[in-house]
Amino acid sequence: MKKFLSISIALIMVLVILAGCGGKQQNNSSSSSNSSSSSNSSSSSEEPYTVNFAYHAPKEGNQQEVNDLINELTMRDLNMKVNLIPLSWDTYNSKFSMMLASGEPIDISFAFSFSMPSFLDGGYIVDASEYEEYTKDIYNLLGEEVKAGYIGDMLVGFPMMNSRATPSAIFVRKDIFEALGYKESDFNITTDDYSSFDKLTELFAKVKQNYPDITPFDGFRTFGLNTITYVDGLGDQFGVLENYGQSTTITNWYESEQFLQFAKLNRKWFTEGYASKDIAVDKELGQAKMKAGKTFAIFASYGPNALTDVKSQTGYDVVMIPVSEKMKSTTAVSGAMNVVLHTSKDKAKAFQFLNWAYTNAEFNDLLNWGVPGKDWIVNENGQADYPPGVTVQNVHYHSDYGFIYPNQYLMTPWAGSPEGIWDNLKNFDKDALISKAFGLNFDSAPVTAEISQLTSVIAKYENPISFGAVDPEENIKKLNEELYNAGLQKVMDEKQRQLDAWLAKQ
Amino acid sequence: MNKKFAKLKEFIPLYLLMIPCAVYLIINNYIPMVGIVSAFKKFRIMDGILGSPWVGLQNFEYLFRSNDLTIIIRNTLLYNAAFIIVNTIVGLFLAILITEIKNEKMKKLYQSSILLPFTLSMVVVSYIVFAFLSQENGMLNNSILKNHPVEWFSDPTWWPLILIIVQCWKTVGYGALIYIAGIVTIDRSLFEAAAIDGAGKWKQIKHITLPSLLPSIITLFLLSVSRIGYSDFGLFYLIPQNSGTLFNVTATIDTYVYSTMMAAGGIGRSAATGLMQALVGFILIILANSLVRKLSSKDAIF
Repeated sequence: MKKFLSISIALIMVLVILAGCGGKQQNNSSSSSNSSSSSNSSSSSEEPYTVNFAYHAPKEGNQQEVNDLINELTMRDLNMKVNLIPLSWDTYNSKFSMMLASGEPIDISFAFSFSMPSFLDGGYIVDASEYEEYTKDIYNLLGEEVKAGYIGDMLVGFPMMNSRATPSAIFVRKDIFEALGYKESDFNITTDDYSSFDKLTELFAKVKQNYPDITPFDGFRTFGLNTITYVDGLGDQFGVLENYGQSTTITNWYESEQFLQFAKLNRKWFTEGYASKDIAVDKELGQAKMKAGKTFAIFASYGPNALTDVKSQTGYDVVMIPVSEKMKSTTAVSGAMNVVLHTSKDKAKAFQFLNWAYTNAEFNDLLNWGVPGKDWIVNENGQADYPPGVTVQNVHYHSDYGFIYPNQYLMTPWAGSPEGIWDNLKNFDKDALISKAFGLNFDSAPVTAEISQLTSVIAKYENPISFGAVDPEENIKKLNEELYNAGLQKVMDEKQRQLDAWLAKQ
Repeated sequence: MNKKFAKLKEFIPLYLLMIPCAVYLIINNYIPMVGIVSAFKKFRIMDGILGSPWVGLQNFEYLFRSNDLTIIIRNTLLYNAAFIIVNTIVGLFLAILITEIKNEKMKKLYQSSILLPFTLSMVVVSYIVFAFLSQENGMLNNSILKNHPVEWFSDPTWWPLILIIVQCWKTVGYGALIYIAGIVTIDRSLFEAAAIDGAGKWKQIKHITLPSLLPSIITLFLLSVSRIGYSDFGLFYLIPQNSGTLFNVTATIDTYVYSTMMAAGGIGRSAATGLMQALVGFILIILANSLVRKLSSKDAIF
C-alpha cells in the first residue's frame, strides 16, 4: 500500500509539473492576442489583416479600449485591425531587442538612430523605398526630409513629425534667479566667445553664497555630453563636423578647443562646489532634482515649448538661458523613426497602415490622449483637457509623448499649450543653422568593429571629463590617445569619404 | 537477473522524482547547446541559426583585438579567485561561530540573517553602497572622513577592497549555511573525547571540524572554479555606478560585452564571448577535479 501511494504521488507530481510547463507557454506572449483573426461579417471578402504596431507608452495595460476604438477606424478605412504593443523608455533597450531577436511578429515600430547599426546588421528592417507606392502621403508630408531616412541606398524608415533642431539651455529657478536681481537679458551666451559662459559661474557663486542648502548645478546632462547640439557627428560622436555642422572636414571633437573649454568650465564648477560632488556618477536627471527642490539650475535640450515642459516636469517656474545656436542635422531629423520590420507578415499592408497613421488625426489623438470623453475632452479653447473629475493621478490612459508618434501636428494640443503650438514646432528650425551634411546618413557597416571599441573608450572618459570630476587637460590627452588606438582615424576617414562622395552628388 | 531488476524497482520512485529536473535540464541546458554554432556565424534573425552565414573566428576578433583585453581578463580571474578564498574563510568562520551559540532562538536568528543579503537585488545594494560612498551626502564622507573626504568614485585605489567586502557580505551566507549543516552532523563524541584529552577550542577546530568539512569545502570550491570566467554583472557595473575613472579596477568580461552591445554585431559576438567564458571554466574545472582526485579521491565531483 505504501509503495503504491509513493509511486502514484511521484507520478502526479511529474504530471502536474509537465502540465504547468504547457500552461506557461500560452501566457508567454506579451501582446494581447484577442484582436487577431476574430469573426468579421463586413462586406469585404478578405480576412482583415492585423497590424502589430509597437509604440511608446508610459505604462502598459490600459490599451484595450483605445485599441478597440482604433480598430473601428482602421476597419472602416483600411479593412485592417491593429494590435497595439506598448513599450516604455526603459524597456526599449532590453525588451525590444529581445522581441526582435526572438522573431516576434511585429509589423511596425519606432526605432532610435543609435539602434540602427545593430538593427540593420541583424537584418530586421525593411527597405521602405521598395514600397513607395503605398506611402505617397508620407512623402508629401515630409518633403525633403524623407532623405534623412536613407542610410546608404536603403530607406530605413520615416521620421516622426517633430521640431528639427536640438539646441541646449540652462534652466534656472525663476524665484531664486529674480531674488538675486538677475534678468534674462543679462545673459548672452555664445560659443563664439567662451568668456560669455563665465556669467554662469558668477551666478552660481551668488546662489551658493545666499542659498547654501541648494546645489547650484546638478543633473546628469551637461555641455560635453550633448554632441547633438554643438556638432554634426553624422550619427555618432567619432569624427564630427564642428561649429554646428558649418564645415565639410571631419575632425575629432575631443581634440577641439570647444570640448576643452566645456571641460574646464565644468571643472571649475566642480572644484568650487557649484556642482554636486556626485554629479559624474549620480544618474538622476536634473529635472527630478529640481522637482525635489535640491538644485537651482539644470542643463537640457529644448524645443519650442520648453518653459511649459520643464514646469510640468519639475513644478517650478523657470527661466531659460540658451547656451547654443540651433542646428538642423540629419540626426535631429532621423533621431527617431517609424520602421517596418522583416517579421511583418504582409509588408505592403504594413506600409499602407503607416501611410494612414501619418494622415489620420483621430488615430493620433487616440494614441496620445486616450478615449475621447473618458480620458480627455475638448475644452472651450479647442484644446484637449482632462474631463471633470479626472486628474493626472487617476486618468485611465494618458500618454503625452506626441513627438514619438507618427504625426503630432494632427493632434489636438493639450490645455495650456501656447496658441499655434504646431506652427511653433514646425517653424522652430526655420532659423536654425543647417548642417552642411544635412540629408546624409552615415553607413557605419565598414567600421562597426572600430565603433564598438570607440564606444567602450568613450564610456570610460566621457562622464568624468564632461562633468569636471577629473583634471581636464591630462585626461583629455589620455582619452584622445586611446581613441586613436581604438581606430578613430579609420572611422573619420570613412566618414570623410562618404561625405565627399555625397557632396559631389548634390 | 531478478535481483538486479528488484534493485532497480526499488529506485523507480527516485527516478520518477528526477524526471522533471532531467527534462528541464535537457530542454534548458543541453538542447540549446546547438546554439554554440552562432558564435561562429554572423547571426541574423531572419536567417535563423542554420541559415546565417559562417564567419569563422571573426566574432572572437573584437574581443581579442580590444586594448582592454588583459585588463578585463585579469580583473575577472583575480576577483573570482579573491572571492573564493575570502568567502571560504569568512564562511567557515561564521559557521563555526554560529554553531557555538547556546541559545537556540538566537542561533536560528543568526542563521536566517546571514542569508538575508543574498536575497537582496544588486540594484538595491548599489543604492545602499552609494549611501555610504556618495561624495556629496554619503555617510563616510560626512562623518568619519569629514576633514579628509575621499573621492570614492574617482579614485580606483579602494575599489578592489570595496568590491570584495560587498560581494562577501552578499554571498557568504550561502556557503556558511552549508558549512553549518556540515558541522551539525559531526559526531559530538569526537569533541568530548578531544576535550578530555586536553585539546583547546582552536585545536578542536583544526583537527575535527575542518577535516570533516573538507568534502563540502571542496565541492563548493569546484563549483566556484567552474564559474571563474563569469562575473556578477550587477556587482561590477552597478556598485561602482559605472564610473569611467574606475574602469581599470572594475571592468570585467561581462561589463565589457554589455558596454559594446549597443554597437552592431550583437548576437554572434555575445555568443562568442559566452563560449569563451564557458570553455575557460570547463578546462579549469577538469584540472581542478583531477587535482582533487589525486589528493583525496572520494571528494572529486566526477
